[in-house]
Amino acid sequence: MLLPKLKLKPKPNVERALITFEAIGTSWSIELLQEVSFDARLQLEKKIHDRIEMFDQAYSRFRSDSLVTQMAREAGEYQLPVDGEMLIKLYQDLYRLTDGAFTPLIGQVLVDAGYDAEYSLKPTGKIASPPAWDHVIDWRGSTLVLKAPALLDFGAAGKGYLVDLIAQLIEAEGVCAFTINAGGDIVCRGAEPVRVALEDPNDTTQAIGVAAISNQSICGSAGNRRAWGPYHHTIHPQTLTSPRHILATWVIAESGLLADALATCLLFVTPEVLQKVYTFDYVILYADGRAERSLTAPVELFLA
Amino acid sequence: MQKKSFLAGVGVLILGLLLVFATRKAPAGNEAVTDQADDSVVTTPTTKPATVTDQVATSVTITAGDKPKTDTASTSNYTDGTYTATGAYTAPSGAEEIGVALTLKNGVITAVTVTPVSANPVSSKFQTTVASNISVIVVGKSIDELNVTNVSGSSLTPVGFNDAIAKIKAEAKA
Repeated sequence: MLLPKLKLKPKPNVERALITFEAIGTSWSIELLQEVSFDARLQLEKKIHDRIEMFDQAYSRFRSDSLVTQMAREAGEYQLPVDGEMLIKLYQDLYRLTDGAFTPLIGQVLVDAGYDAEYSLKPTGKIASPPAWDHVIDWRGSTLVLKAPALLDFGAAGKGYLVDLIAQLIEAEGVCAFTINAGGDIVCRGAEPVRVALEDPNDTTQAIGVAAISNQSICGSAGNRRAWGPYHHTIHPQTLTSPRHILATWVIAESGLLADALATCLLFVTPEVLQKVYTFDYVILYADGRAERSLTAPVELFLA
Repeated sequence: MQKKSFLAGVGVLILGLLLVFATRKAPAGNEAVTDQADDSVVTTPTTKPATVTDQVATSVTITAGDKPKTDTASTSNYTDGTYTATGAYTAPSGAEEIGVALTLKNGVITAVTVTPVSANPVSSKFQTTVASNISVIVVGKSIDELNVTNVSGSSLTPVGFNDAIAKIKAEAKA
């Protein structure tokens, strides 16, 4: 007869609650590093789901009931949700800084490449460069005027932004130490630095380095997962091809919104272009196996 | 492993310069990491480093002042602190020097200051360009072996997307 294994009583430590779920097309993992009562945790989870739903219903081009889908059908004046202004402002600033490479008008390009709401993943053969911002969009603070119907896609920065909004929600509930990881876009709060592996896009069981972040965000962008035919989910609006010389980028910045947006921008422009305006650290993994890092990036790269 | 990658990291950091002298700047014990925030600080070693010609550095030696870590919070073999060094190299114009200060915390380089020491205008420009980023060849390490709580990369795809990919592949085979 086997005796049951005796488990030593663990040292009392902070209850770490792990909340995991699928949302906005990817996997979320929220670790609360602070003791939270069962009821408080349930309440918090509900608020998180409601907030995500609200965001998704505004900005997702994958659902028929969203604001973005409405905008794709009809020109006109649209009331932006309260969180919309900050998002549009960053998109406009980066559109100008990248000479139009970073644009919310990429939606139609992605659809014509095959990345549509049904995931048909079949190019339509009609792929074309999107119109210039000023030809279509007139942003007036809390309203957005579309001069023509346009399919806007906020995928390049939307997830990072949503992670910021959820972080604010959790803090408002009195939890000050936590890590949110939404499909590789991470925001952390608390005294302990968080170690984040930089996933090797060529072999996702491996990492090319480790970042240690503290009250910051790290967002990664790579073309290894959402890939079909000659494309992956980042397409340059002018060349109409997916960048291949860079395999992955990571940005460490103050906010998820900024880190996510800049991680995409680094596929189109050099870090120096962005450093003129923004403070951030980065790692860029090139197709030839070289990794470039900013000097102050809190990152250890695994050297060959 | 950490010691090796730190040494290699510093070596690549200098980008072809050979470090011949290093001085540990941070005090011993449990004092906080000193932050080398001022880019204009020029660190000068107390002895003149030897000049090296015709060599590209493939390794770096850090000497003197290194003590085994006693603070159990750190997982690194190197004590937290700021390490300074002056590299000497030969440019077409002659012998040059470049100063480097690294701040190390728990085995990770958290701050780097590269200080051009050159009076030669061509070398100054080169040193400034060299100082803005670092390029290295990297390899993958198994994530299971790393002590990490999170992974960052491209977003995990939903079932719908994976199904679409599978369908496309099946159609392609047909």
